[in-house]
Amino acid sequence: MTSWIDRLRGKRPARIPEALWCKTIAAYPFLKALTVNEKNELKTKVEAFLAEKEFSTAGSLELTDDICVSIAAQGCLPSSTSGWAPIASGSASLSILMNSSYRGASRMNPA
Amino acid sequence: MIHEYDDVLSGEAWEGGPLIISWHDVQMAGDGYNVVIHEFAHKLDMLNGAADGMPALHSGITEAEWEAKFSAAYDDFSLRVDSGEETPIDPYASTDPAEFFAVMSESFFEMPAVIAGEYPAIYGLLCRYYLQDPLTRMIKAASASSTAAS
Repeated sequence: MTSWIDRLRGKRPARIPEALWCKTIAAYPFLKALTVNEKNELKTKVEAFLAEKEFSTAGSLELTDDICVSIAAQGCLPSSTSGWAPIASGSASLSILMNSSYRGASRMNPA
Repeated sequence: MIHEYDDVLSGEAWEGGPLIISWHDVQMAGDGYNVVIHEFAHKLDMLNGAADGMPALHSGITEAEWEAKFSAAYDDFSLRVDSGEETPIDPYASTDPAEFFAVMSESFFEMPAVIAGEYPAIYGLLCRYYLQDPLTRMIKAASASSTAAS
């Protein structure tokens, strides 16, 4: 399903393979709980998001479809209806670094 | 620009620029922690200027209502953190109103029952802002899966 504006831009969202999509949804309880309609709506947004954004990595991290779909699926949920379009037309790039986090680590292992 | 780090970076959102996310942190999602939702919330907050905890509103939410409910919750939460209470919501939320909005947003999706129980006014406001009700959704999904299992 390609919109007229997408064709104008020369961008055609690629369909996410079903197996990868199911695996991504299953990994996050808050995505797993979505209704069938909500999952389909999210998938369309994620595909458009991936077509529009440029992903890059730092260090030795290899950029994979799993990484891109995982981040897009989580990120497109909170913005799924309210502010999604402005986000999509905002910054074009997204970088993923490979490192650890003090904040995350402190949450996972409370002292 | 908003960045979250102590000695290392977990995520960063630049106004009108890139979003930088640690894959290591993405993989630690769960129990209220979600760096992707956190950074996207900052991006939403920045759509109407510098991140200040008040994104562009819609659905009949007024700035006065947002400000009143969020500042009351932020003040209460900061007092609890300052008094040494071990809060189920990440104490990082007490940093400033922008971080409070981002942490409440990640918790709203990750552990909606906690936000609905501790700050019902914020939960209701975020349901209207994000146009969804994650708690009702999770309860329905849980009862559907238990029905299917029985």
